[in-house]
Amino acid sequence: MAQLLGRIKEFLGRIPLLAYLLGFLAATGVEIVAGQAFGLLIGLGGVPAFFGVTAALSRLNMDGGLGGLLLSIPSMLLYIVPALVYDVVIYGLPTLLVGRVLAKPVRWFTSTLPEWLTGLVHMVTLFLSMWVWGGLVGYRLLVVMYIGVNIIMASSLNLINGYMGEFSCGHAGFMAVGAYVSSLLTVWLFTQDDVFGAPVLGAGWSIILFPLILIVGGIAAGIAGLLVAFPSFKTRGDYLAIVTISVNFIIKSAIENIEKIGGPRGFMGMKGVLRTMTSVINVPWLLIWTFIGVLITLVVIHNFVSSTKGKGVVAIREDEIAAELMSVNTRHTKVLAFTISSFFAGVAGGLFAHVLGYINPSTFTIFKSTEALVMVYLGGMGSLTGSVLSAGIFTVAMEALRPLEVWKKVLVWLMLILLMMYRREGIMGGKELTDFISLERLGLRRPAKEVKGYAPAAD
Amino acid sequence: MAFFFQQLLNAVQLGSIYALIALGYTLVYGVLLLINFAHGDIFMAGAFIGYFVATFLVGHGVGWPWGFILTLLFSMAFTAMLGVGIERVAYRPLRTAPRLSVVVTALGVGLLLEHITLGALGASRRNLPPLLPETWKQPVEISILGENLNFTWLKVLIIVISLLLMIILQIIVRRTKAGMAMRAISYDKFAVPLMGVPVDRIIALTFILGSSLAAAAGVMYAVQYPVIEPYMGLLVGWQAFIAAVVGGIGDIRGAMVGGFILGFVQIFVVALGQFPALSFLSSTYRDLVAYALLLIILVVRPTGIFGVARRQKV
Repeated sequence: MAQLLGRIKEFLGRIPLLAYLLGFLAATGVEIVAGQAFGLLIGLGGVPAFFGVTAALSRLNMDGGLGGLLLSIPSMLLYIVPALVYDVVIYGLPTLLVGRVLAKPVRWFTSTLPEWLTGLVHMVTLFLSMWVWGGLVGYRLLVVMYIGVNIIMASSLNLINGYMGEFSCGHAGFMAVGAYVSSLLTVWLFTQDDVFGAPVLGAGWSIILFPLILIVGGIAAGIAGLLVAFPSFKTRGDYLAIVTISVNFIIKSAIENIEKIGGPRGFMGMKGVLRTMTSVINVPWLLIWTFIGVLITLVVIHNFVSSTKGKGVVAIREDEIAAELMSVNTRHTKVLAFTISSFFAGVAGGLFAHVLGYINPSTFTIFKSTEALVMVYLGGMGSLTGSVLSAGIFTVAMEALRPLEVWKKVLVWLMLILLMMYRREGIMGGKELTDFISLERLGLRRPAKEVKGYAPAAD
Repeated sequence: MAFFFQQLLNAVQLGSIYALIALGYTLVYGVLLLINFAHGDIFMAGAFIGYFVATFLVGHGVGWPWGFILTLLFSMAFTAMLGVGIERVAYRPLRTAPRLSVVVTALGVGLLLEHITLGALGASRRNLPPLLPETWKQPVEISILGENLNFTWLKVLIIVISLLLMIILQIIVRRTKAGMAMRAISYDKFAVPLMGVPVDRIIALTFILGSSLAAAAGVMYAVQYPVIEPYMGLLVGWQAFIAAVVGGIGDIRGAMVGGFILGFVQIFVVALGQFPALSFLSSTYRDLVAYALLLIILVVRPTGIFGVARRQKV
């Protein structure tokens, strides 16, 4: 058994990342061609939106009390078997097959071409597979974009909670600032709206200005982040947690009290902005910007924590007083960390508002903040790849578990508590994914050339 | 002047409910140095338990005054069990863990309680069955110093019960051996177990005291404002938490004073909005003002009014 597992592991390990991505792309092609027919053939009634998980769970009868729930379990199991067959045949086999076939050429490709080019090819392939896979069922595209938003949220919160070791629990407040500022701007500039009247600028501008407006939203959120940054000089630990929570409440309450932007009723019209954008050039703009936003967030945060300034952030986590003695300007570092973190939360908010098309102050409560916390702790504090992974898992799980209604939330909080009790370091345990699988093995970095004539020193 | 006294009475009544809940936060913080974020939801659970007990009692023909007294006592007892259970299951395994993990757990436990209630009982608002004679809720007019003042006996009852509970708490903490142990643990939690103080039992007692006070507050809140819903812990519990911090978390007098201060601030924010010059102050500003107050206190004097700064040793 162990031997078999070892062989499977070796087989999977030999395929580089790009080959997997191309394999998945091929699998989505198979799904487009044969998914519907195959789904009907094995009794799924079409293409399952989420590998069949959502559809299987929606077989559960949540309204009939415990008896009804237990009685509906067999019908769920009856659905799971064909769904598994579907997943293996449509996704699993093509991915592995194409991946295995392409492994050699891809290895050659990644080991000869410059790294920036292979990186770009990875990104484009990933984007294409998301687009094609999501395009088949409209709902998937939405979830893919939610994953993107959540990745930005989780990794930016990780900067504070993971790298700096402070406990920020009001991330949704900054998200709200970004969401409101950017959607007010886009709706004012590009659409016919009841509040703002006719569009101010022509439709063509919307394509150019949209990313800039997201950045403006982020800057506004970053300024709001100062509300937390300044108190953090004097207060630490649980008291800072209270500060962040109260900032979250204050922002929410302030938005609720501004009648002009809808107050507690919320604000909408962002779908019109998207229509304006697609009327100029018809590509999935929001998916593109979410994708780019995620990339920029990850690169910036990764580079920040590896920089000299950013090492100060980790030093503050380990021991603030010692860090200060070692000439880390703690105030400056804290302001910087909080501003960067809330900037990206604001960008995530802007994207979120446009994905959803409608925002409401009560979207951005402490529940939303706590969801971001769950993602950070699930992925592991101080691990960016962990945050990416957990944001993906968490978002898909949340969508897949939708049929469970309120109990879904119960599962989330239960998971948080169990995590804190049994695995405080999260999935990745403070390590990055690249600590387990090297970049060379993934095909993201060219293997170092062996220098001939030197034998490694024997210990 | 009549207006002022009128609002003062409202403020004292609201403040006494806040103070009761705030005491729970402060007691646990004093002993465990843990901000028990689940406490607001324990208050909610207390109100729901009170609702079920009251429905049972009224259904069996138990009326005033025994119906009310028994509801209060049973709710306090059951909620105390819940509080101790939470401590046993969720907090005790984490006693040696980093503090932030415990805070996250507490937050998770609170949200868990909220959503379990939501899932099991639904989001609909419930009303407590009539435990008090109807006349107690009717406004009574009296005249003090030539000013006419409206009050209800219910408000007086709430204030009296709250003050009574606070006095009992003071006696337990100041005059009994267990209370002395509680104060000792909050003074030095390393030396005290060596002196033979049963720490686990004292912590359980702390949770019993805090939870039962929250349950009493829950029942009285449910009688005064007849809405019980799963999110009331979020709405009222957090306000009480602000009260605890404003007074200086960890300090019992602080929790009481903080509760009354917050009650005053909130009532007067709403009340002053009745004047034309201040008409921009609508009732929706209540939370904004409360949280802004919290933020200012935390920046200016993080230890609150009565709190003493714990010195960090290097």
